[in-house]
Amino acid sequence: MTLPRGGSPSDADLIAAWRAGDEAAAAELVKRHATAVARFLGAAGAGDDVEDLVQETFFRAFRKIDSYRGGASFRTWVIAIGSNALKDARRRLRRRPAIPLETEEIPDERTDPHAELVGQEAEERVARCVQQLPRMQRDVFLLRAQQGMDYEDIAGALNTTVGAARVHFHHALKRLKEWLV
Amino acid sequence: MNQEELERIAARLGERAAARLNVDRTAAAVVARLRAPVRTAHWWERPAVLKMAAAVALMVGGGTVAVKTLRHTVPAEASAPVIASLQALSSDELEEVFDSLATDATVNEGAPVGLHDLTSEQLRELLQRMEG
Repeated sequence: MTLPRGGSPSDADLIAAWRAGDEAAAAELVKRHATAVARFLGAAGAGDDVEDLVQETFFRAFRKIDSYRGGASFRTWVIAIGSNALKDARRRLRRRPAIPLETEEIPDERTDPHAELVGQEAEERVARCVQQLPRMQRDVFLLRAQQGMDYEDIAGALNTTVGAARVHFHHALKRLKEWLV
Repeated sequence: MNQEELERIAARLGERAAARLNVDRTAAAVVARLRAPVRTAHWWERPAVLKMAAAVALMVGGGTVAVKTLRHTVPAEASAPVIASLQALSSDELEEVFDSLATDATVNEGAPVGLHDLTSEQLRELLQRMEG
């Protein structure tokens, strides 16, 4: 299969190309969505294993690409696979100490170091609380608040209903507000 | 923290993890893994078979333990009246009971056994059995 000429091929085009054996299409899909998957996994508590987990996530996704029916966007579907990969990784490493929160310093590009520090502390508090949520609430919350997905998309990827996804989001928000008082 | 601030912070979560990701290297690694031949699991490695084997092992093991335990256990409700009546006996009456048990043992095993023939350990075991 050849990709359409002109403009950027859609995810659906790339998926069809990969199904036909085009490795470049698979690589393009990884490049297109890896950062979003890494952000999700990082927020969900993947710690230093993010790159390995992103790799594992896409590997699983391409291996079972035939089960992707298009009920959710490819990105949301892959993120749901990433959530499973994270769960499996945690199960394997259960005897290790708790997965550390991201603490690595990154270059400060803002002008106010104090504001940056306060912002970073707030982020770490929120991240810690998000990671304490039940898995479904955590996934729905991150897909909605972090990735900006709509409920239909989230419900399709997580095999739930739109109503249930809304309820999970509501409960997640309520808990986070309570914890972050 | 209000909802607006919470959602604003949530939208930024994971940015540092994403910044550490080398996208090109990840894409190349994924493609390389996809190229590798798929190793199909032997039939005995399939999760369903492993689960079934574990269930059978549990049932056999649990059944064996249960049978052994039941054979050697006198139900508590059955031993309760015996203990109560033994507690009411005087020491002489208890001696008589022990003697009669010793007589039963003689009949059953063919060797003459009296209460005085028992070692302190055997006597303790006997008392423990009577207590259930």
